[in-house]
Amino acid sequence: MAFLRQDTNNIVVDAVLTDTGRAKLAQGNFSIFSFAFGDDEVDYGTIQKYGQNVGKEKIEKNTPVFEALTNTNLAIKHTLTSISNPNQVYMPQMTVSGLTSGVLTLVEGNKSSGLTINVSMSPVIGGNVPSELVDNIFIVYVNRLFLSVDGNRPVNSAALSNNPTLNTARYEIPSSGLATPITFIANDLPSSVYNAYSSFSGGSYISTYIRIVGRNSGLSKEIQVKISAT
Amino acid sequence: MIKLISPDDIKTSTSYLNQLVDVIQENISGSSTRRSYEVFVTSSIAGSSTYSVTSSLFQTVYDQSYLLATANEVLDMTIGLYASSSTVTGSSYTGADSSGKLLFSSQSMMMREKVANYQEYAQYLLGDKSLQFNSPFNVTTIDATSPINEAIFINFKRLFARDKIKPETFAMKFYTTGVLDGSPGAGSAEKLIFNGLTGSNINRTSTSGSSIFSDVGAASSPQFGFGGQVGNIVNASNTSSNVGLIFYDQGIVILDAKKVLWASQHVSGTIGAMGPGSSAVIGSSKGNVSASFIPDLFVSASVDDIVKCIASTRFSSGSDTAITFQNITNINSSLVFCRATADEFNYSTNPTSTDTNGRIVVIDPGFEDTQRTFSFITSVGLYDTAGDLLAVAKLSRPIEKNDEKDLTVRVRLDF
Repeated sequence: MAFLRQDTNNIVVDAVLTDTGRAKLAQGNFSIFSFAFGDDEVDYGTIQKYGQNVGKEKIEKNTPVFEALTNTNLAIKHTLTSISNPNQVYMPQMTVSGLTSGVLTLVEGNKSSGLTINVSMSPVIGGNVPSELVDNIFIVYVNRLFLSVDGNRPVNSAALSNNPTLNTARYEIPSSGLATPITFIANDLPSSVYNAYSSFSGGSYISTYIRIVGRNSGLSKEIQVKISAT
Repeated sequence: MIKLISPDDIKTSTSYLNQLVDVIQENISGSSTRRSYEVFVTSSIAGSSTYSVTSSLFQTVYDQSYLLATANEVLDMTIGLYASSSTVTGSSYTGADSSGKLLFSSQSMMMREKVANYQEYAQYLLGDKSLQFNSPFNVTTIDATSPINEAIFINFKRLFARDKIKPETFAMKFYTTGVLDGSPGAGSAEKLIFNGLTGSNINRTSTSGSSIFSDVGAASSPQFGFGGQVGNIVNASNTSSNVGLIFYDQGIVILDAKKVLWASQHVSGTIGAMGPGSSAVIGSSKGNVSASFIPDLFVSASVDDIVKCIASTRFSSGSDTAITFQNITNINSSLVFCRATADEFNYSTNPTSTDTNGRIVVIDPGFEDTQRTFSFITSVGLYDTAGDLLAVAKLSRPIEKNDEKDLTVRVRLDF
């Protein structure tokens, strides 16, 4: 993706349809209902380094913005959010337990080897999680070629069955309070598929990523998954 | 966090875009950029010999060699003859059979196809295949010069014509004169010429006698017919000289061959024919020594041979512009107003916005009571009711959002 030109000060922006948008347009099912703002390019650490005045100016003038991506899953990773308390100083953080060195390791085709992780929101220091950021649903994105979420059906299963090239399955897992368990199972893969996708690692494992997003908070976590052969 | 969009915040508008299209001379004249489709075959048996001629019904001009995957089709070119014209009903015409099929002598080539071509355009653009094109289009009194009997058709591809051709933007440079071949049997202007080209001017690039044809006046005097808006193509140096028509909505140009070519000029060269070698040399002692471009070439040659003659010789072969026009693309836009009030979107889920303890880094330590958080917007996502991201817009630079600022980003979706 190239950078956008900065020499305009126009807040009228042209949008591009994502792959999902194009598919829904073709299905006659294109209807805009809501919006979100994103800030994927911004490094707020600049404010820490330079202070508010210079830091803001550096972000505004020295942060080239990438062109829009059409891949639904990559286009906006981090969204802006609203909290009614204007003096909020701490944000909750999404934590995931059950990983080994930050990686989820599975064995392909072995349902009993599915692994469960627990997703929770850490309480903020000096207070509770702001009510607006309490997640009742965690949205989980996985590559359906390799993974599924045990006991759940993708909410986009209709789109997946209509479009064989669409590989990202989206699950919506209700939050169960402090820690929400989610069990991932590696699919039984034909040897040709396994060999193709594991060739970079010399056949020892397939690497893929899952993404977990809190519906209300917008907080997200990307977790690497390594799938080894049976 | 997503925010619902009120129906009042989605507006639609219509605008249009013009693009300038230049067709380069070499693209039309070059053999590697002009493609034929040999779908017509005719043959005959004379004794133990079989003669056959193959031809296209039209040829396609590309913007680069059509063998390349990146080549774009620019235009199609073909010719047609009006069924009642003297060119059709002349010496080669032998009547019609009981089913109405026109019959011609074997010295002619593809006459029924040329008539059918004309009729197809007439049916499509005038609403009746039996009608005749006139230049000018809305001629009040049809005289000897207004009907188009021998037509050159140029169809611009939709990739370039888009929704329509913009009126009064069309122009083309066309060589009305072919290379003078100095045939002793030709008209008075050529009789004395002995330049060694006798018997070979059919595929030689014209060197002189060019004219600029354009649709001057089409914007100020719009005309409409069965096939949509029509303009008259005139000689730019003499705008009272009508030489053809342009159907803007269809992207089709019709040139009166008799007016854009020196019709009676002597023509000579090898064409496909039902004879020895499946070819004949027109305009020579071997046959029809006094042949002219019209009617002889238009009767005796296949569509391929005629289109090749016109395309390869009358547009020159350089890198200059042969044909130019502007197109129109209608754009329907949805404007979505994404409004953020002062208290909204001031926090970020960007991992860089907090430290390892979750503390918001944009608030300086010790100033928690006085400083408020802020964020920067670089992108806007539009979602449907299922939460699917349908469209993404990017700002040209990060825009600060804080609790002293409300913000409206107008996102345009073009269809």
